[in-house]
Amino acid sequence: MIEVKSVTQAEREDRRQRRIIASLFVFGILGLAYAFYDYYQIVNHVTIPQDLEAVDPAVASLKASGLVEDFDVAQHVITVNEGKWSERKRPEKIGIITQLARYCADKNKSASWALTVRGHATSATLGELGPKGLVVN
Amino acid sequence: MGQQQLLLIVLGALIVGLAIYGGTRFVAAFNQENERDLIIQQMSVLAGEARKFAARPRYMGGGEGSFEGFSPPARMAETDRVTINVTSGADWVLFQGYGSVVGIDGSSPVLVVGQYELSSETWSTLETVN
Repeated sequence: MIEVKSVTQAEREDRRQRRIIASLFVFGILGLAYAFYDYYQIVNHVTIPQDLEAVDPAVASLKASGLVEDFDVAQHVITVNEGKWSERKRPEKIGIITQLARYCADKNKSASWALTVRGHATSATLGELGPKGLVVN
Repeated sequence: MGQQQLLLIVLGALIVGLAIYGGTRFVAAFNQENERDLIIQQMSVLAGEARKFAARPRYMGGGEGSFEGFSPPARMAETDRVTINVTSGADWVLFQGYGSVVGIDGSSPVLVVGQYELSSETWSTLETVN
């Protein structure tokens, strides 16, 4: 049986569909924005791997990204680009310092962890795990 | 099929896809938060052990007012789900706790770092790293 709609009914149905499409569109845009933001957070988060064997490649990739300039395991010193270091969040800095300090202790067969983060241009100490514990400037 | 119906189908598929992604991420975040709470709880237990160590005299295997030389019992530092690495100085002890679920970066396990101070008996640092 063919349903016959009046012009008013057809216009009302059309308006209803437009409203649904507009709201779905808004949800879609918001969802996509969230997905992109989430993805950015994941790829932009710097973490040194738990496995000490995987630390070397991670440091090499940090060197390639320009964050790390030099890493002296014997001296427990890492030299970083100040600008890129300051862009990192505090938890990321803490993660880098503690894991690299543990890595240095393991490589140097030392019981206590130690690491100094030095700025490449200024030679300023930007972070440290030493006798005073963990210090992040 | 009209243009509007096609648009509805495309938008519907997009929304469903995003909802699945969002749901997966929500569950992952919930698991990560649970794991972090577990790590912090275990680190608090170890901080208590460190305090007991510092309170004991040296002839009893303690630190005599210092955290230096503290090493946690293996069964407490490594459980089925949590691995905690420890280093210490005279008046601080630093815990690096790894969980068993993947953290924020999508590849390494969740990680919490905490530093406990002997003088104030509080955490000077307690950060979710991953």
